[in-house]
Amino acid sequence: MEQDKIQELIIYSKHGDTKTFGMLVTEFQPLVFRLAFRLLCNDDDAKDMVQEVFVRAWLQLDRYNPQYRFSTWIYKITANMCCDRLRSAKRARESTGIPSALSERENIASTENTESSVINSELKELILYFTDRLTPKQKTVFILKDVEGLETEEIEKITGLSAGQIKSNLHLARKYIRNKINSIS
Amino acid sequence: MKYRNITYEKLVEHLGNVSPVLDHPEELTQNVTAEITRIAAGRKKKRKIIRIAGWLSGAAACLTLCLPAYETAQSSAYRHADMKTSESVSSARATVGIREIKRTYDVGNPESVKTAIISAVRKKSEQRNRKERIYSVCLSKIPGYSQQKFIK
Repeated sequence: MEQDKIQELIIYSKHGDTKTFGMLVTEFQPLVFRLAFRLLCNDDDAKDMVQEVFVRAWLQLDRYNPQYRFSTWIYKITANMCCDRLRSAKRARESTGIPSALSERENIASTENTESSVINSELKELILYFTDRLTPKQKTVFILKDVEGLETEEIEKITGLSAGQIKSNLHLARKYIRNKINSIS
Repeated sequence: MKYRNITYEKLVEHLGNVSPVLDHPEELTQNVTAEITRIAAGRKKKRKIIRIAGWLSGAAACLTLCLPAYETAQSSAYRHADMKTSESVSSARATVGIREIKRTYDVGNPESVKTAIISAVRKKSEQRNRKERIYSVCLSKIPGYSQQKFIK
């Protein structure tokens, strides 16, 4: 969808048009799901996150700055919410020693569509294996920069980190993953 | 091992190329839209309640401000009207008295005013005497009543 069209839809949505906002949801839903899945590594949690992200976006639509792209703003909400979720899951795991809700559901879901569930479970396994011990910041920066292929400038806007912080987080993430690969081979 | 031949570049490339698959995206969109509609309806209701509360508080504030002002204005108007009425009554009385005297007597001459006052007093006392006489005659006819008693 073109930027002008998106801006038009946002203006209508700001006036309370839910149908127009539904069009924005349809447009940006794959993007949000993709990032949420890569960060949370769980199909159902990613779906919940999609819902939460768009509800928050709807509630905070007045705060959206049209100078930035809508996708950047949506990325920002998604990344922040996923980071919060990862932090709380980590805290829960550390304090109780019981695996958090994030990983509890991983084997239950997705028996309907076998092909998609296979792809998702393989992807989840791969990401979890190589990024398990990364901090939420390191994981977010790694996913946004190396996997999603975003520019540092855009990552700055999304995460609120400086270029230096992004660089150091990315360096640590890459180092950890490389070490993990080396340990296998 | 499962990931024996993997390299960092290969891993990143694989993660970038393979996107997670979202089952029933339209269902998810519907859920989001339904949630948003529910929130929007709630907001509308809340906004309506706030607007009504605003109107009511505005009206209450107006009444609170206007009633004392109205009372003050009205009491001062009453006081003013009272003063005016008393003034006009007294002036009317005075006017009537003077007019009456003017009508009956020649006011220009002070002697005639004096005469007029004397004659008026005399006239009144004559009337009183006449009344007393009538009463005494009437009462003398009632058994057990004396004139002395009546006069006391």
